[in-house]
Amino acid sequence: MSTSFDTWVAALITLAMFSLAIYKENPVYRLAEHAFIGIGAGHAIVTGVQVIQTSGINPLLKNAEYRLLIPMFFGILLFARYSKSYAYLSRLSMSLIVATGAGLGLRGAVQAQFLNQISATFLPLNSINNILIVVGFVTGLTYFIFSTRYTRYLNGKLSVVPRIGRCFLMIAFGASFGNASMGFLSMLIGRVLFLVRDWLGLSSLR
Amino acid sequence: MLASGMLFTLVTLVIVCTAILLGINEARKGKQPQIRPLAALQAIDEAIGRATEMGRPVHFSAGVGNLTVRGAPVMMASLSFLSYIAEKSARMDCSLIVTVAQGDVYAASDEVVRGAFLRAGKPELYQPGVVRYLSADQYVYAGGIVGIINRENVAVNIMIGHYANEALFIAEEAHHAGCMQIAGTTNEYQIPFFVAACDYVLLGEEVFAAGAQLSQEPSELGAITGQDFVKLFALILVLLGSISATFGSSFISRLINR
Repeated sequence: MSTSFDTWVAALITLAMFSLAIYKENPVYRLAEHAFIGIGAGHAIVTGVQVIQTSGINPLLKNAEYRLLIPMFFGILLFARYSKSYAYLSRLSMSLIVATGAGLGLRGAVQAQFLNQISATFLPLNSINNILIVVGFVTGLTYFIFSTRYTRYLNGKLSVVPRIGRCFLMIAFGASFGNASMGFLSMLIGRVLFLVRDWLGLSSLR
Repeated sequence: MLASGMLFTLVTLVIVCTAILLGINEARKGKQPQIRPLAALQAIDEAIGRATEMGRPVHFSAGVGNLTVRGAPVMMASLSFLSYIAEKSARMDCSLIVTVAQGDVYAASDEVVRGAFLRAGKPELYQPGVVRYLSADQYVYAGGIVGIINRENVAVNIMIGHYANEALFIAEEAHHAGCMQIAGTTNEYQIPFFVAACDYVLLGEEVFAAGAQLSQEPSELGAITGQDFVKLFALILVLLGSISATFGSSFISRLINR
């Protein structure tokens, strides 16, 4: 059995987290959860302070990069929300954050998420695989048409098209679920190996 | 000038933007587009009603994304959901818990909840503890939510936003706790987990359509019509590309790479 304090803490916390799945919500799990959240919050504060220091205060004072005062000003405005009289000022910063997010989201999206995927589907319809891919794409896409202006063309006999698309989606989700479940299993195996090998010292298990 | 191979990208960008702007313009002129019914959306009212009857809280989570980089579009759509859910909960006197993982989302969510309670005519329901910041670390965030769901006896768990690996941890545990669950995300790797563990799921783009339907904002509804046109454009391109490839022509393929 391990004599390392770190390993013991890690092992006991791992068991505490497992206790939720094996039993139910209990004080041991709660202790581990609160410690986890507390450490996470503490880490976030330290990281935040470091970012302000390295990306804001240091360049401002050492390199006289006064343009950094602008983002700092908007950052400080976010705290105005704690004042009833000046809460509206924080909305300036929020709108700036949201608009920047929307703009950044658009960058490269047309090429990478739209055209590249379309051109990857230009497949000759000469094999079952290719036919399945093209049919899956076309029917799957019709499932995501929402406005009644266009969905009215998919009524009657054509209503089967988006339904076929939904089937393709579910098959894809099933495959993805299976694949990702393997990842979760390997995480579980990793933790069990840690407990058995590193904590209990049963080193013959490799 | 234009970088090589970017001409069609520019043309596409112009088509996408024009279609969306025309859709928005039309909606603003009063031709409000209709969106096909989405089961998950209709289930939200039922879920809040159920939580009210049980006297237990509704939990809303927007996931681990933020408003600038990580899943920004879906996070913005999730704020529309939060606004609707908070207003509905306040009207029904149902207790609401909102958990967030990012600082900017905390600020926006707090603002949205406060506004929604005000619209419902119950500003006194707003308490600092309604919106709770847990952690930016996905597993810490998931662990915190699991604890809240169990300790506070949550009846309804609504997860709409950007999710990564923590999606299954939360959804599975909420299912275990007997919560009614409605979920939605655009991350295609996490949708399968929601499909497996939740009662109702908004698949990918459905989140945006549902968000527009909830907000009834002409700009959002119009954008959905514009996007539908773009999807038809993509559909026609794929059909033409595949048919031309079948006959040995690479004309469409070359056109798209110009």
